[in-house]
Amino acid sequence: MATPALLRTAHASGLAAVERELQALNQARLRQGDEGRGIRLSVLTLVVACTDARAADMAAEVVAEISAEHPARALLVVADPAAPSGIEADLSLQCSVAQGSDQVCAETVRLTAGGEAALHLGSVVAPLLVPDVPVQLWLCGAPDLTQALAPETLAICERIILDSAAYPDPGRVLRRLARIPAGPDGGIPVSDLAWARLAPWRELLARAFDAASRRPFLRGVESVTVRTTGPPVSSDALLLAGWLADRLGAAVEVDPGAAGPAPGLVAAILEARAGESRLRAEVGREPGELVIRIAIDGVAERSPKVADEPPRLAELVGAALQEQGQDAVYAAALRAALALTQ
Amino acid sequence: MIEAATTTGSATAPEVVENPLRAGLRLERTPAPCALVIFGASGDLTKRKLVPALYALHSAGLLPPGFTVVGAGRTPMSDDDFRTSMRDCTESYGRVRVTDSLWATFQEGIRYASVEFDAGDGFSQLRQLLSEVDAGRDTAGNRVYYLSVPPSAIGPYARRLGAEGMARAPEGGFARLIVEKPFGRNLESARALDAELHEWFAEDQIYRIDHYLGKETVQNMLVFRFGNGIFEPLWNRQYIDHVQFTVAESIGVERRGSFYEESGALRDIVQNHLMQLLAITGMEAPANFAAETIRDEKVKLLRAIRPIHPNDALKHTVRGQYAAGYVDGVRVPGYREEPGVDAESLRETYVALKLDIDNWRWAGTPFYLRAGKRLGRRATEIAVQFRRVPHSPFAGGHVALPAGQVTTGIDPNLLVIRIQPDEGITLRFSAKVPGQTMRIRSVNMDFLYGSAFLTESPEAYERLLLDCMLGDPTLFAREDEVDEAWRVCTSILDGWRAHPPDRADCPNYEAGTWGPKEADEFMAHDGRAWRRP
Repeated sequence: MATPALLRTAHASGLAAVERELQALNQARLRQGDEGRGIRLSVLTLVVACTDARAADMAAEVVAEISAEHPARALLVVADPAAPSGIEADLSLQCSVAQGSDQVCAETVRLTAGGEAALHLGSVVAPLLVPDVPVQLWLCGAPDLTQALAPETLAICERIILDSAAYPDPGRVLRRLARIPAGPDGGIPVSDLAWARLAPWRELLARAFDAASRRPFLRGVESVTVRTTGPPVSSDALLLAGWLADRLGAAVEVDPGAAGPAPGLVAAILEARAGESRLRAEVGREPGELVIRIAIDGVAERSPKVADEPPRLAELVGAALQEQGQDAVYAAALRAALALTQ
Repeated sequence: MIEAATTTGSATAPEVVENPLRAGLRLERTPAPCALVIFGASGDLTKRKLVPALYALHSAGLLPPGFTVVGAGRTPMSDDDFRTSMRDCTESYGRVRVTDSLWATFQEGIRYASVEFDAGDGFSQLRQLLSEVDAGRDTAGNRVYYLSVPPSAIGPYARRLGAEGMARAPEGGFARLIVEKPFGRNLESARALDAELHEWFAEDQIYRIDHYLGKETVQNMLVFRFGNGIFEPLWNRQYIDHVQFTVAESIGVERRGSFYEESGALRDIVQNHLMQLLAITGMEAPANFAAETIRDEKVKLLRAIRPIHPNDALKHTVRGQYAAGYVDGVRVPGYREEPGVDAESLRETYVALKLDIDNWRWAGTPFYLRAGKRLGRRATEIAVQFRRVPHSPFAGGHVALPAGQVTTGIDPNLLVIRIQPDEGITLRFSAKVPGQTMRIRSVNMDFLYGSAFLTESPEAYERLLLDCMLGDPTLFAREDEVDEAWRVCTSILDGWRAHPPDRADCPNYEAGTWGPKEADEFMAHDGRAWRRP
């Protein structure tokens, strides 16, 4: 996939000027179309609430990387109530040619909102949304939750993407997420990047019980332990523990204080019995790999492993944009995780 | 230390059937560990399609741990030689780049067994190797046998597998058989082959592969029809004038001359691929996406195809054979000059036919099918031509066609579903040409699959191999589908045999053109014309 080419840039002060400039960008895009290339419109508006300018730079990189696959109007907002009041914006139109001759264009608007405007994110972005297409809200970095998830913002967005692991007190973030108001379709879906990073852990644990001969052990789960660094207990450890508690209907012990190469989840151990037979499964990190060791009656079985490379931010955000609806397994794991922390 | 118990645990837990940890993960379930045995491992299909597809599945993490592919062939070869040759072909033909680390784990699961089919203990090496695999890689006796062998060998291989006790599924596991086309030569031989397979394999163990069904755009046809509310109300005789199905190839018979002499375009393309496209285009809405529901609907449509009596075959069909000509600016030989082809051959390399569907939805709306080699370009598409507007209110009614000609009518709307290349959907509608007069021109609204979804589509074989390992036969042809397709094709073949083409008229189209002029006259007779893809 080609790197997007910057087609046009502009600066605007105040929302009315931003809207005018967006129209001008649109005209520029249409003129590109006269050159006989297929042009694709935005499939969504991505509102990014950024902690600060650095987070906005990071978000801009991610947006550029995923724009070919998810052509979105991206609104990157750095909101600072302490800054002078007003809205300043830098706009750009990037086009990339992908697969053959089709061209994909995406607008990026970087907004700095100061003073009163910083507290009303929803009203700042409302006039800039692309009509009819979904709006997704991404919290890049660790922006203040009360500000970013204000009711008026939640009213316009159809998905929230955030990384619960980015916050210093994960327990508090998870509690806030659990309180996101329920809508007619079961609330606003949340894509937690910390949960997405757990996929290989879940995959290995699930594989251990894919074979029909292993299923009986699931009826006789005797202990489940999740080891993590800390305190505080990391959000990935809480979510994994919540997931196991919910899926297995078993008591789960979270054991902080373990040593690990990086803060976070270290291992998950499951012990179960089926008749006279005992099974022990332990998922843990080894250099570059995530390995599950399974022993039945003390005899080691084959140990499947997967690469333990944390996915890049752009991959995680791109995958979140493709999700549909609420991840019911996540929602249940979140509830169970909160039960564990209380 | 934090501890809590959830409320769902109880002393009288019900029977655990599903794996509760599987929910919400990418695949509802990964296939159980198994061994895939490819008979005909030295063939082109294995090299170009099967092994590259398996490698792509491996790199996407979709294969079960312990998955093993066993190449079986007559040529004696070591595991390492087979691995090297498979790596070479995966690098040449695969969609996914081969990396050393991924290949290393993949090749642990590649084995080779030499099979001497005619010798008494010919399968013994294979059986021994499979037990080794079961012991070393936990494949638990689960098998998929892929018969990539000549059509005449399919029955004997299945029979042999059965006699060796290899068709029996292990307890709680599976033994499945994948069969390539052509499935028989006519209705009678297809039924005989079914009977032969069924001696040892139950119908739910048999997967008749038609790689067209694995194509994303073919599956998209189902979504297009049944995932949109605006098309289905128009999808009937009242609004659709006719439907054209085209499978055009620009290549000739390549190295398959002797095979093609035996089959021809009707058997090679129409009986399987085109009939499947037709069924998906014309079928009623299935109640759900379960394998049998969808296949039931397809069979119902195929059953509704009006039989063509052999005596009427020439009225409903056109045969053609290509002569030398120019393709992509290069002179290419005629069919009779191709290697393996009889210099006097009358075999058809082009076929066009008209089918009537006798049901409530389609009565009076013909389906035209054509398939040919050495045509103007490679294109597979379904063109749905809607009825013209009943009356043109525009004075003069002059219409400027895209090519610059002027006509007095208004072009009917056309919906084209392109399956390859440039997968996508085009809708043609009329628009006013800017200016002081009322001039109307047809414009195209294009949806390009590749530009809306930039993620690369998996190859058809990836999807189909995975589905078979998962035990999902939705995208495979069922016995009765194959039968119904043969019912239609066999009477045409019978008619053709009774009325061979006039030697003076064969070959009847130049390579690089759009088929014989008879095919154009055939459409003109109905007041219609072929679309140029």
